[in-house]
Amino acid sequence: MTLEEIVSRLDTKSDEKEAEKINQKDAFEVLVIGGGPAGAAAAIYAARKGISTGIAAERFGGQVVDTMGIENLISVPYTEGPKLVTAMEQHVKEYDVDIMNMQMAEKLIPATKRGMPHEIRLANGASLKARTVVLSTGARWRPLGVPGEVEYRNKGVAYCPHCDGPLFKGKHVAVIGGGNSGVEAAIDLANIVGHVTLIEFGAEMRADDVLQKKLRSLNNVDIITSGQTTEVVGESGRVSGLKYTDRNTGENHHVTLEGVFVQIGLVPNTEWLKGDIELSQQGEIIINDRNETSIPGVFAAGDVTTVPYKQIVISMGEGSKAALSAFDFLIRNSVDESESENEAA
Amino acid sequence: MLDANIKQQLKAYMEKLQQPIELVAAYDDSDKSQELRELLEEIEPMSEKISLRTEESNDVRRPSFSINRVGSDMGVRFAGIPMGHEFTSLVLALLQVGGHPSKASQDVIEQIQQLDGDFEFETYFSLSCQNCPDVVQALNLMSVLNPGVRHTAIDGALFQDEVEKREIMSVPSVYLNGERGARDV
Ligand SMILES: Cc1cc2nc3c(=O)[nH]c(=O)nc-3n(C[C@H](O)[C@H](O)[C@H](O)COP(=O)(O)OP(=O)(O)OC[C@H]3O[C@@H](n4cnc5c(N)ncnc54)[C@H](O)[C@@H]3O)c2cc1C
Repeated sequence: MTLEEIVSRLDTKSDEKEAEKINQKDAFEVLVIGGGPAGAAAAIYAARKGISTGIAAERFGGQVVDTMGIENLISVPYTEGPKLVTAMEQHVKEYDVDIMNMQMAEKLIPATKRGMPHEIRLANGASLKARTVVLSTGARWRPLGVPGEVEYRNKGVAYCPHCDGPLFKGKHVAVIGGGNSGVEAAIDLANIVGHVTLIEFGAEMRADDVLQKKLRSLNNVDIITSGQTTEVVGESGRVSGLKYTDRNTGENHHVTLEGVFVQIGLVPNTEWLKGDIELSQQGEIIINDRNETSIPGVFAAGDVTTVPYKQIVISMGEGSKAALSAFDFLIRNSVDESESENEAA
Repeated sequence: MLDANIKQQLKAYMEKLQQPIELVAAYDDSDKSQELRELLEEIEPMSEKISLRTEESNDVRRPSFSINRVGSDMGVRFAGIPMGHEFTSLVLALLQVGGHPSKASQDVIEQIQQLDGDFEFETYFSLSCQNCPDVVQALNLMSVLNPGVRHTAIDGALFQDEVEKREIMSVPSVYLNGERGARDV
């Protein structure tokens, strides 16, 4: 927590001033909501087309801020989250992009007529208008919601096996969740760590058969089904074990281990969009291969969407695509402002 | 408490004090209080702008001490002994209470000065916590700049009862007006 962050949390008046400033802004041609890799890429691609571009984000950088080592951003063999965030921000600032950081979008009010501006309401009460919108509000790991999880986050409780797995070389870890992502994680981790205990809440794992078979063939993996994780236990500031209840017998068990990988899915940050845009069952914004959503002129990119595989490079590519689609939309729907205003009147 | 080298460095810093400051200490009969007494008695003679007295009020944690500009109540207090990673926080607090300008940007300084309301912060730290000093220093600076802001930085290891009662499992933990604040922004 930096001085700036503490102050902005306390300073309710600055919020009012900020809101006033935002209300006075002209409608953007492209407004990006979310400042992760997808949002940053979308803003850069849009600005490079010479159209007026804004980006409003709750926290610039998104999930990348919380990431330690990154080794799969092609052409960058190794970087760290905060470093990549700084580089993304500098890159965006190369262009004429209006960056509105620490702004939370609360509602999308779609244009009533094709080509007219959409409205985005912010938590501070202000509204932004834009002819096209790129939604890139990303996702967050679905938490277990048991005691110890928050306390030991990043101290043994991890959510990204292929990121943090190597930190647990030779150790004993648990994977919570027997869906595809959990089982894949367990297979992955079994190659690195000493021992993996997979805990599935249901009576059976839900992962694809081939994955389950592969998992069962590994000799350093235990599988516990009907196991309800009840607590992450720690000692001197780091994870030391995990408690679970056997749902068949009601017995409580304790496993001594150093890491807990929670793999019970991601939650897309779309709560604020419910009812206004078409979402999948998992709550992801449904997009087609041009990043179009159910609302003409509103595009979406990255982890918040139905795009398979959630990764930084993928989000960057998706953000770029969404901006290009938005540009295309603007060309095809260029309305003469005065004309449309007359019509509206 | 302080080795010769550190003492000399601290003395050099204390020459930058622009205004007289007062250390107001609250002791009890514990060993830690004795250690705190030694520390403060080593700091006092480093500048003639520093004075030391004991706290009258019964309403404060012991051992603890506040750092004040003489004649005003700045609301900067350490409960425990700010050594380890917090030593820098102590030095900065002494300097800033003593009128030495901080490195924060003018925008933020103005924003802090204009904050309206009463903000009573308590931060639990540990001497080995690397990201605690940022928070402690930020809140101390805010206390110096705005009379409505007060801050006590508490060594959790020394105030075990509180830590257990408030169920603090990680540091830094910040409380505002008695309520726990969200830890991560
Ligand atoms: C610990 C960890 C490690 C990872 N390691 C890797 C790795 O090594 N390699 C890799 O390729 N990927 C990795 N990933 C995945 C990668 O971080 C994501 O795929 C990527 O960040 C998705 O980018 P995004 O822009 O779609 O969304 P996000 O990064 O989630 O960004 C979302 C943005 O939207 C903002 N936002 C959310 N809601 C609102 C709202 N209502 N109003 C305004 N703004 C809002 C957020 O503040 C943020 O700025 C990791 C993820 C995690 C959590």
